Amino acid sequence: MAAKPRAPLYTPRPRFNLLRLPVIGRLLRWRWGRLALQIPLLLLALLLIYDGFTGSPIASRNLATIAPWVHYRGLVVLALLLVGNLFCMSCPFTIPRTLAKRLSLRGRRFPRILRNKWLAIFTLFALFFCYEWLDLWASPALTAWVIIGYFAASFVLEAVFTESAFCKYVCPLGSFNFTYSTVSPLQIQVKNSAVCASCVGKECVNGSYSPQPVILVDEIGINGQPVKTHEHNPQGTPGCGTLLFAPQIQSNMDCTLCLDCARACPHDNIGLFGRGFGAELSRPKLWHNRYDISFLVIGLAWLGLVNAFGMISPVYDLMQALAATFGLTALGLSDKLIEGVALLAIFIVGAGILPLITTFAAAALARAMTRTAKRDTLRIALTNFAPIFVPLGLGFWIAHYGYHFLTGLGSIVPVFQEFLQNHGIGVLGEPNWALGSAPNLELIGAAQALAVIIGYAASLWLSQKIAMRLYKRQMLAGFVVWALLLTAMMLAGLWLFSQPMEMRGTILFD
Amino acid sequence: MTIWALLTLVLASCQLAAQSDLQNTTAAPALTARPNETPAHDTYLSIEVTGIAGALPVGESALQVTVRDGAGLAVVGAAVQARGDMTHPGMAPIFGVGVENEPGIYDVPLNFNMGGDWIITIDVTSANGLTANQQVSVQVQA
Ligand code: SF4
Ligand code: SF4
Repeated sequence: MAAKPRAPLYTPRPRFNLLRLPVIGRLLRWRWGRLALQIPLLLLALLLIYDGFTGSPIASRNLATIAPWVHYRGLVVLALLLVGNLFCMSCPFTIPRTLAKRLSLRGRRFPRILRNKWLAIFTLFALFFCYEWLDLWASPALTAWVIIGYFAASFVLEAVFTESAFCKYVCPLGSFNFTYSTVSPLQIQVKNSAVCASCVGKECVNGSYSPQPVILVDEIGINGQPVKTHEHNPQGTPGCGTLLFAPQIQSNMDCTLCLDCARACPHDNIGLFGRGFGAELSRPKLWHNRYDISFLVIGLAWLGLVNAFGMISPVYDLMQALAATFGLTALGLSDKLIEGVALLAIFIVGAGILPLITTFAAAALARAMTRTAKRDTLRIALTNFAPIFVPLGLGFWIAHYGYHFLTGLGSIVPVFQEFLQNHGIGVLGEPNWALGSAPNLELIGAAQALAVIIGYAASLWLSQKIAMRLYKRQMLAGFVVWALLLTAMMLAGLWLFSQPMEMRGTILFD
Repeated sequence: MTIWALLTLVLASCQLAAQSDLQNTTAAPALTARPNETPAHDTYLSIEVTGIAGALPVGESALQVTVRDGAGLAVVGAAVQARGDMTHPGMAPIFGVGVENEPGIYDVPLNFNMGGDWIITIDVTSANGLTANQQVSVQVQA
């Protein structure tokens, strides 16, 4: 009797690969797949610019303010949590980039000193500060200028530098998306790292484009003849713009989900694989103990608090007090200028000084309490715990953006109806303003609190995992320090989101 | 001191960019019914809105709209409608209809459901068909 073939002792579980799905997978891998996603958003951006300059100056009646500040932000945080960095994937700002690349002199890299996240931290800080101070949310024209600014900055940086410098080092939206895509359930990974080991062209990062056709040989048979070849040609695809090397990707940080790597790989060795939520966040040396990435992540969580603080009435009392304390009113400045100085002070303290002091203090205290001061530098003690600020920070942003999204969900309909009507198109009828009515605010408030608490719980869970890895039997002492900081931030968040909103653009100083 | 001076300089330059747009959101002057004509006393309306000084509370408030003709006489029997929009996008507008309590003076009730800056657009149509509108900014405290 013939023996039955034995099942292998270990079969790896088949992983979910989005790029293998019947229709979506094909569309995403298609050469023009990204462009097909970008064009609708490009048209939308042009519409917003047009309405921003020609439509109603009242923000709640203009598409330029409704779509980005209410709907886009809400959808972005939900997409990051549930799928991944979908906005960067279909980002219209990078379309002129392709043109810029053709004009580019090539060869010049972004200055070494700026190849980090410090510039992105600055642009994020500047965007949120201007958002509050110049009331970008209340101004369709300024919002239109911001959109134009994005296109211009992306174009110029791509024309001058070889890599996608704008996405990787400058873009505040991209930096936000990179940070919170670290919780997303999808990640670019290779199917078989052994294939990468023998891959000659490393097209995932180098690209498969060549002005003249070039044959590459990946494997030579025993008879000395090439058995595995592929070609680079003008129809090829660029490699990873943010210079990620697929077989080494550990994190979604810096991945725009453009899928160029998957299109360029001649061995069809790249997939967009499923993983657990935030699976990467507990990995050791996740961001190579880099201070810049750590403070991007930590700063964004604090910015979540400061940004929400700017939308409730105590901020106006604080600004009044600051103006009085520092004698700003006596200088004869305009109210708007006084507001700018007072607000800048709040931002510097809330999103700069406080995160620095509290995280360094927590790291130093944890080192002392776990008696690891001789073994670990302060950098190691701090950067290892930076990922714990991701879930809580995301909780803050979901609570804030989710509030605007849910309260303003239907408001885009009458605004669009009015836009069409103003242009002589009556197909959608009279604007139905009742659609903009806020749904149950108590329910939304409860959902906000839930988002903060879930983020906090996930951050705590992550902290104990990292503490266990770093401090082993001393983990409790290390964990408690970071847990206290998280608790203080969570309570601050709950307090902020329980306050009634008061969005004022004009403050009159006494 | 130098730091404050520098900060002030930087912020002042940024503010210039915002200035033109900010002007758009503050009160606009009353419009006449027939913009291309030289207004005669009986061919245009003027609107004055009171009851908006200082911050209003969240909830019901009433604005007083005084409607006069070119000679400064009270315009009775006009239809006065108000629409309130928050300066933050995504918030539903509120509406109010004026009730004439004294000749030419109309009380317009509005239910401010959230604190913040509101822009109130007043539309007036007189009995003889003249129209006028005006926008005013109102601050509502939570
Ligand atoms: S992912 Fe593809 S292109 Fe990149 S190294 Fe592996 S086999 Fe080569
Ligand atoms: S090319 Fe780079 S940025 Fe684009 S999906 Fe692949 S790894 Fe991400």
